[in-house]
Parts: sequence; C-alpha cells; structure tokens
Amino acid sequence: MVKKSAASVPKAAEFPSDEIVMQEEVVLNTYDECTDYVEYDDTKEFSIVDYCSQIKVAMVNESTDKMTLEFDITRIEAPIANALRRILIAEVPTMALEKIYLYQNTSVIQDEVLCHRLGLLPLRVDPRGFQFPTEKVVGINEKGVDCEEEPTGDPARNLIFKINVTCTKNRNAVPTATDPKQLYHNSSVYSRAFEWVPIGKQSGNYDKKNVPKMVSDDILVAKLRPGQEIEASCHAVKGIGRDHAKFSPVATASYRLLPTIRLNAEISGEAAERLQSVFSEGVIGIEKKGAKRIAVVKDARKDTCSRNVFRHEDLAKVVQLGKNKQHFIFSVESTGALKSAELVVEACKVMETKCRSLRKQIEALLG
Amino acid sequence: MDGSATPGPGQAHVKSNSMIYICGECHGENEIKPKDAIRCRECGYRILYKKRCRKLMVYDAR
Repeated sequence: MVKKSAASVPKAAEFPSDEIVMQEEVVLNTYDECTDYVEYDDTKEFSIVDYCSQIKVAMVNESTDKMTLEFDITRIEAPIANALRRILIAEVPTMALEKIYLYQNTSVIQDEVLCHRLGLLPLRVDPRGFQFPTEKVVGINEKGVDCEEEPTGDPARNLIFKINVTCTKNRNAVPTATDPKQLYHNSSVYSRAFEWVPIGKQSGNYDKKNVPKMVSDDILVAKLRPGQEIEASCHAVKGIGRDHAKFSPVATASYRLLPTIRLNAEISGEAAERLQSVFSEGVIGIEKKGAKRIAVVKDARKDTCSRNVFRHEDLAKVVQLGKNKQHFIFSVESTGALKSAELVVEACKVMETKCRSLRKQIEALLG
Repeated sequence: MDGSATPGPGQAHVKSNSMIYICGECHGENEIKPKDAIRCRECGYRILYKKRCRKLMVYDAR
C-alpha cells in the first residue's frame, strides 16, 4: 500500500455534519466531537413535539415466520438507539425454566449440568399473561438441594413441564445395527419429551394449537443408554435478561448506521469493474452511458464498510465513504417467545416505564 | 422411596426388604433380597451396583 499525500485526503468539514467520515485509517466526525445530540443548537429551545415528529420508523425486512426483523429508525441519536437495543437484550421479559425438581437422573450428565441445560431451553409462551415471581430466587447454596415436597405452583406466575424418559433396548433391532437410535428406544432426549402440566385454570388460557411448549421440538437435551432415566418437574418463571441470559428474548438485537458512498468522478471501464469488486455484492452497479460503462452506487445499505476501496490508490481519490449518523438500521432476531415486531413494541413500553419513573423521581426531588 | 433407600440398622422394613441393583456388565436391574446370591439374573455377572434412589432434589436452572 502506498501512503497517500495529505492533500488528497478530504477534510471532515467537506462532509455534512450528520455524517461519520470513514477514511483509510481514521473515522472522523464521530459523536464525541461536540455532543451526542446532533442537532444541538443553543439558540433554540428544545421542543419534544418537534423532535418526535421528525422520527421515522420503516420496516425493511421481516422473515416469513416473523422471527427476524430489520427496520430503520431515522432522526434519532445513538443514546436512544442504544437504549432500545439494550432493553431488547436485557429487559424485555420472557418465561424460562427456573426451578428443576429432579426426581431421578441416572444418565451420565450430572444433575447440575443437566438442570443448567434445561434452563436454557427457549419456551414458546407469551410472557405478557404472567406476573413476576414474588420471592427472589434462592440459590441452591443457601437452601441446599434437599426438598421435602414439590410446590404446586401459582397459575399466574408459573408454568410446569414434566419430563420422564427411560432408555430401553430395542428388541426388534436388526442384529447388524450399530446406530444407537436403532438399538435403543429414547437414546436421545429431545425437547419434545417435555409435557406441559396445566395448573389451576391455565388450560383454559390456551387453545389446542397454542399450548406452552419449547420453541423447537428437536433440541437435544441429553443422551441415554439402556437402563438410564431422567425424571423431573420443571417450573418456569417470568424474568429478564439482566438477571440471566436464559430470559433474554432475542438471539441478537443490533443496529448499524446507514453507509453512504459518494463517487466524486466518473469511473468507467476496468476501474468501474474493479470498484464493483472491492465492495460487497450489489453495492455498486454498472450502467451504460453511451459507449462507456460507468459505475454507480446501486445500494449503499449492503456495504459492510470494509473500506477495501482505499487500497486502490486511483479509486481512493474519488470515493468518499461515510455513515449517516441519524439513520439506524436495526436487526432483531427473536428466540421464539414473541414475534420480533412485538418485542420492539415491548421494548418501547419498557423504555416508557423507565422514563416515567425517572420523571417521577425528578419531580419528587424538585418538590 | 421404599425399596431404594438404604435400610438403616434401627429401621425395620416390614413390607419388602429387597433392593434394586444394577449389573456391572449388562446394566440390567436386579431385585435382590438379603441372603440372595450376588449375581445378575440376566447374565450371571457378579459385580452389582446400587441404583440411585428416587429422592427429590431441587436445582436452580442457571
């Protein structure tokens, strides 16, 4: 790589203030330059109505099962976008197995490890119909693992799943069989082995097609050999990801800024094709202009911001890369309890509750 | 818990004093009474292990 002369590097001032400037080795015009608030203006009084009216939300892509969602929020700042992301990960509640009443475990997997695995199984149940548990989780170190009797559970707070599997030999197996699945029955315990046990009037809350169960039937829980068995009753509670990651409703919730690409000169012929190849697929298109084939920016959203283009000295002079500071592209992937779109709405509600509680405290302080 | 807990010295098992043991060879379950031969009924193997008792234990799934 040849080091470029200082004159060819565009100065940050040439860019609009709401854009992050990406150069070969530096990122300029970032948030920490002046303030987090892009449209910071001392002369005007801040108006929440004006601020909110310019925020735009647009759905971009939703998977057919509605579990992954990509959407844009424009005209907000990073602190708010980040708050939404963090709430999605850590503060939107879901149900998860919390207490395992283990009756028998003769499998090779230890009690503690097995119970930890059970806790991580994602449950397909709407947490909005449940209340948070009344008492804090008491760790097994404080109370011990000994338990006289299994509690019945509160219909408004708990869900109970029972599992009882025993591995046996398959008498009808072909003599030449070597696969444990053919040799034995129940050699692998899958999440479909859990059976939901309604408590109180719970069975009336769900129709036949929508009973509480694991998100997927094919999650491998343990492996057994003949004579080994697992018998347990699992109590699920409502909780938030801040307490334990098993309660987190999302696999990923992330945002990125919309990339901007400017071509300051006409790039044609071999250079155009080279430009196309240094960006991700679909970012640069080639159009015919008379006899020439020139490069155009087709879809900057698809750019990964690798800045690979700056390795080509001729292209680096005419290409400007940036990111729109106010355009957030969110990507939310649900674990299955709620649809991604519902999760975002729930996250906004959580944020609203937090804002209201803060306001109440400030008001109390001011008297 | 009957039939699986260890019979203590002061504990009189009225109903059945048999215990379940697991064969070290074929992993089959054997019900063995005191004074019975320590031998697997299925395969004749002479090393038997006590089966874990069905006692309720509670764990935090975390």
